[in-house]
Amino acid sequence: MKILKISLTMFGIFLLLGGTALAQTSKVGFVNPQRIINESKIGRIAQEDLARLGKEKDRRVREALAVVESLQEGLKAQTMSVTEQQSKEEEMRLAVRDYERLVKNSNMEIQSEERRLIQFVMRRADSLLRAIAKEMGFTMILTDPEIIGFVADSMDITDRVIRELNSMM
Amino acid sequence: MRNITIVLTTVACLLFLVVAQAFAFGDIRYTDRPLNLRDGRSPKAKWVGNLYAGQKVRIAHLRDGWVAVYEPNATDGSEAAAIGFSNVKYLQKKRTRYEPKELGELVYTYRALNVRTKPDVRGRKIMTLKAGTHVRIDFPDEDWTRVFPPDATIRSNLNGIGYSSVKYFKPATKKSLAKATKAPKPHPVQVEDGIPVVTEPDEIVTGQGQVSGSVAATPPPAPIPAPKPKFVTATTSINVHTDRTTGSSLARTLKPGDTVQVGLLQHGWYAVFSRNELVLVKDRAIGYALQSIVDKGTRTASDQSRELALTTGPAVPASAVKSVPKAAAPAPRPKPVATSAQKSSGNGQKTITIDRSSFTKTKKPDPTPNKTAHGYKYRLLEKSETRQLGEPWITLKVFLSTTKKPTRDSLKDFASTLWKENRRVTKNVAVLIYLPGMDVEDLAYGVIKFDDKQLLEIWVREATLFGTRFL
Repeated sequence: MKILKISLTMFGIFLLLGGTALAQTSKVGFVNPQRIINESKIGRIAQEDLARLGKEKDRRVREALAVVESLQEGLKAQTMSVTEQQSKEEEMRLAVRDYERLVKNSNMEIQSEERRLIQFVMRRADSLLRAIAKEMGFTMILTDPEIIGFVADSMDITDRVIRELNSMM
Repeated sequence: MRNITIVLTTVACLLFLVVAQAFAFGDIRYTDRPLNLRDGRSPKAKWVGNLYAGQKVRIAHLRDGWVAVYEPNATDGSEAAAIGFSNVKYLQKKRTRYEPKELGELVYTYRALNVRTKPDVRGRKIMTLKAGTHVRIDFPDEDWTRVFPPDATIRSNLNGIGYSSVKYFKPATKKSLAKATKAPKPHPVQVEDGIPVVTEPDEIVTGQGQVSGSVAATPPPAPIPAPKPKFVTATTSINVHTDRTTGSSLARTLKPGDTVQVGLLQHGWYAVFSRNELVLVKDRAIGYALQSIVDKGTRTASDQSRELALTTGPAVPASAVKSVPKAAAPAPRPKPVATSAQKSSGNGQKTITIDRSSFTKTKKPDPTPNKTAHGYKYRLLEKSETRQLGEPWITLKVFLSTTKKPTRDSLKDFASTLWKENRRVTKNVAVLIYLPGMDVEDLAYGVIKFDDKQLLEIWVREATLFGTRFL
């Protein structure tokens, strides 16, 4: 019984010492991906790229809309036979369908492109992130600002990553 | 004594005028369309180059309806010094069109470089360019290229100095050009085998010089301040082009009553902006419209229109705006972390040095081009057929070997050629362009989409040039 007590005490001491030792070597850092996208040069270029894509899609949508509008005008203005009327209506139905599909696809493409560009920028940041983390002795870097309650200044390496990214351009 | 001075001065002035007249041979003309240059007075003579619409040239020696063509500032009027021949009927006294295109690419050498008579190391050495010398290059021939003086304007093989290996050139940068303007010393010209040799200091040369093979240094012209943008309302239909050329595709047609902003006047073309655009830079323009048409077909917008521009959204159909809500608005920013630091300095962090060589080692070498189209050497990396959003797509992944970032027009022309070779009925074609230094497994730089009848859209991702020499 005495031996059991001594063993348990020793085990408890080991656990405490081990925990303390681990706490001393583990260092958690934080980087805010949204700030990297918004504040780094490469991030801003990616946002401009996305805006240009939006403009290009917008142009196509406007063109498709103009086709629909001109067909609509044609239907209003002209006196046509029933067959012609039906043919024009069918043509317009197809144009409207194309227009709606273009709008839907354009939105999906823009959203997908936004994700791709963010990933592209973050992949560039990632290589730097690893080097900075290694240099500063971090064993873990958190990237989700939504789950963080408090971050000490010295643990937030976002500014460092942005600065290093900018210096590579 | 005074009379003698006056007489001598008058004689000197007259002599100067006579000499100037002697140098200013021939006539100045402007092309009324893109025009070919040939090495003889016949349409069957060998093609040596081309002129853009509205290009200023000096002409002389009219015979059989053909003239010898020279650079506008040429001083040698002999027929042997001509840089091509052209039919005189396309050369007008006044400029009717103006669609300028730069001759080749402005580059500089990063080491001493020989210029030879042939695109071959066995070609006779004409001259040696010192490191940092700026020249223009065009007419690529395998690993070689034709070298032109930096101030050359006419794209003719006969206008070149000689040939050099293309791998020793780097695209001219603002930095390299600025460096050149810091110390614009006169550059001695040596003569080697009777041909001028540029022996410049390390500072880089830009600006005007002589066309006859030597390179002179002058600082680049000071930028001309552009007139302020103005609000105008269209009184007639006005075509807005995608580029400052009448040959470019239509971006939009302004209808009577449409209010827009016009500005950034260049080469007789206004950049057109939507009336609520606040940042009037080239990238945000709707397109370009001819100054003469804008001046005639618009009136100054009323104050009400201007006020409206600042308080309402874009002047496009509501449905069109609805279609791309994500594009205009920046990505939503998440809620900030409660006490996360926003400042970088003053937090006691030590400065660290990151060894970037570890990243560069992972970069694969660029693919080797094996085909040529539109003056570009390229390699088709992959051709695949997929369905995206319910539509069949043929995707062509292409590596484009170039030292200069291609323009929108050149990308369009190049991609159109590939599309013509690969298009199939009812299938769309997407041409994805990669430039040197890019990871060909990652996002492409240029994305050009076609259906089976026409170009649908053209878009570039500037961000993908991160880490390359183009950004």
